[in-house]
Amino acid sequence: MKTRKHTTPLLSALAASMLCANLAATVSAHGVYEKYDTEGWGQPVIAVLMQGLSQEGSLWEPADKATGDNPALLASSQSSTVEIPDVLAGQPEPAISGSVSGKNPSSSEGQHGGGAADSANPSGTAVPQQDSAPTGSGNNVAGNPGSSQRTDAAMPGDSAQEAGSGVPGTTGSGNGTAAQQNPDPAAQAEPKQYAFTEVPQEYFDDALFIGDSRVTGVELYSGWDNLTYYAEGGMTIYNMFQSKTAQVDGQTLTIEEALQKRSFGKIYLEIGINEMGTGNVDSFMEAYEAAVEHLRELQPDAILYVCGIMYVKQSKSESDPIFNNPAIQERNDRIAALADGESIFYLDINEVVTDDTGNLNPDYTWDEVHLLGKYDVIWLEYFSSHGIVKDS
Amino acid sequence: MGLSDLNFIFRFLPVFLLVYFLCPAKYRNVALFVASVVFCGFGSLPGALILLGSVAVSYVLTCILDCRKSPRWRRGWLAAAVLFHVGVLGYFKYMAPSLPPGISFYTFTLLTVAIDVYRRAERPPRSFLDLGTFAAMFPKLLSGPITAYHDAIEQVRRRKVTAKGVEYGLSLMIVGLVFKVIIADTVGILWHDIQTVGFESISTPLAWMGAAAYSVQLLFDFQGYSLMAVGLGSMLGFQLPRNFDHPYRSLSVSEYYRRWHMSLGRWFRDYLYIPLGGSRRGAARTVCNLLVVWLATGIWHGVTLNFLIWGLALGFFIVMEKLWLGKLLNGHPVLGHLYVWFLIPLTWVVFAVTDLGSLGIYFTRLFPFWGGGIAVNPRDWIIHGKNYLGFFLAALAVSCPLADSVWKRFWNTLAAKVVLFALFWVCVYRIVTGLHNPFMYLGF
Repeated sequence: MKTRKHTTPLLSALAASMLCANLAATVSAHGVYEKYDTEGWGQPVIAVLMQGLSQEGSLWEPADKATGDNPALLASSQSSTVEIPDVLAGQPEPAISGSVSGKNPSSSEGQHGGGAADSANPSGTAVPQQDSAPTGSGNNVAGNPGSSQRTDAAMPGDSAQEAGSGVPGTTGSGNGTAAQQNPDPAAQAEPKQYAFTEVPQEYFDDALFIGDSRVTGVELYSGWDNLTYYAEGGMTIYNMFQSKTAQVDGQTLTIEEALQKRSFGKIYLEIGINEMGTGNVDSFMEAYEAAVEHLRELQPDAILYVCGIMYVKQSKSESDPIFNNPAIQERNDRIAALADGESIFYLDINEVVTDDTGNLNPDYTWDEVHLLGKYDVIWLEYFSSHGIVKDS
Repeated sequence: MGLSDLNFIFRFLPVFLLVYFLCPAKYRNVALFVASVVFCGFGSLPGALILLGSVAVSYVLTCILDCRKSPRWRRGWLAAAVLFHVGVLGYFKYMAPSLPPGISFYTFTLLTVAIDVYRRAERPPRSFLDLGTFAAMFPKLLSGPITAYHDAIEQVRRRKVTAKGVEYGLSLMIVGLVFKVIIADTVGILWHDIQTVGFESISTPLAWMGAAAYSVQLLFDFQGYSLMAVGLGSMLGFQLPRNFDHPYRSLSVSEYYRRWHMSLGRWFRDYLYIPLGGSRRGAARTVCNLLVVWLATGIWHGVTLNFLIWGLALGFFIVMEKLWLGKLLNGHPVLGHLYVWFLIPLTWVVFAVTDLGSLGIYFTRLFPFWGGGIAVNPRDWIIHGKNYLGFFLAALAVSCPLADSVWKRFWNTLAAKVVLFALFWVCVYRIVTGLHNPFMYLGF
């Protein structure tokens, strides 16, 4: 059926729909989707409506539809991030000590006070195991430039000193809370404290590595396949357990389901960069602590390693209002405060991937965010030099 | 501000179209010229001034050139015009820190004015406004198609806006937007991911998939932009030349470049190759002329060594085809297609990777005869590639001859309009929520 000669149905329909959509967008930008109106006059109001539909829709969609590589991280220059500064601001700050027991103040002191020597053994209960553990050097992939930079720091809190790219003054709050609420861990006496040691590759036979696209890189290019990886580009702390990335007995399950079926001796959690454009540090940490708590419930016997978020390259850090290293460090400080030296340990990859400016080493990355494939093994080499061995 | 930016689609274009359609025909050139300068100014304010300056100088020089009767003076003023434009382009392309929007394209457009007037192929522009409208019109300002003065100036003087032209143009525009936003930007993620992984660590199948991905991305990005430009032109009453004619249907590299970025190819043919003598002065001179043209094409794209290698490699194959390979390829279509599909993606890799060291590494991954590769995962092509199969197939489907006849027959039906309407909104959604890149040819 041909349309009539002197009419412009497509133009008319598009014009009418654009008008309606703009009206709807204007109304929603002052109402339900106000939080997506981040650029003001910089973008047409239709963007607010689309962003709102996409984000709010994803709350009800299954996680496998809602995820996908975060465009903000894939596109170096064209990030379409949404900042939702006050999404949970009305809610009270969660009590950090509620989620884990036996906080170790070393993690906060180590970062801010420079008390590295103290923090290595804050409660006097650490077991010195460095000498007894076999080394992991035989497992390293040859020719990896990262391995030469590895430090043997055994304390969970010392990392930020080296990384030091300008930690905002506000970052102490989370740690301060943790320290105040646990004024004297030694007095609690009960939990046994452990220290990092070198472990062989077999250590990871019963290890699980959960995380976002950075972990996908490790899975694909580290060459270590004795670990189990539940990783997906764009994974966030908010959708982690629903992420359908776990292969169990030939089935693809969500991480929640998989952790109910399989048990692991060690769980490494590396997550947090994709969330930086959403919510604030408190809302992130609330979700993070809930996730840690839930992991503890599902896998009570596993050693849980919470990993600091890896930095980005200097040029990105200095130009990106969201994905920058001070903001990452602010979150890392809070993650580090979760470590209890007994069942939860903090690992900071930034000890071995940063250059002398304290940013992600420019030789290690092309997109300023992810490690090049040949350097992904650094993660596992770093884990090897920071293992916890418990006497069983 | 590119043609696929929300600010263009939702702000600039609706306001402009309203003004343009409502104002009397004799004021439409003013509206278009002012809008074009504003459009350029949104991208870069100095860029708009450079545009105005170039048009003004071109106008003055062309008028002087036309007034002169003596051939020597005419040659002299032509040389002045050519030197000015080439000098400005050369300075901004190779020495200045940033490239003013569209300068490579409108400079070539303005060069045709001086040359056409010198050749007496066309009268000089009647007014600064005529010349400005012709050279700066925003649909083709940023990335062409490059229009020759003698082909297009008549449309500046006289043209008709019709309902059918508006509908056809809008339809083309949406198709272009789909090509760009849905196919090119998506397939481009694969190329982006390959660079993120690092060329050392990709498997050989992934290296080939990457070459294919970049080729598809570049084709659909630039073809999409060109369709949008031609579509916009049609809405305004212009008939801009098509820039792409299914290049991957070619049987040879020469044919490929008669179908790829056709307006640039025609420019080099009419304003460089033929004046040099073309193919009429013996085989040696022909070979030399071809190499000069392809060297110039490489330099036009960029000053890094990879563009020179790219241009000269294409020149080499085109010379080979001219001498003896062409007959063989044209006589054996299957061989011809395989030759094009094998060779062209390789040349695009050379085009894409500006660093020669990285380019070398990429080629050792494409042809892994000498080992190489660090931390390669042999299965990575399945993992990276599985998300893109549908988009590669879509690219293939819209490039096959059947798609042409379907488009010709059905574009003006209600069903097609419903589909296009829906696709438009899908594109808008993707622009907001997905990975969205600026057009690739904005960098040239």
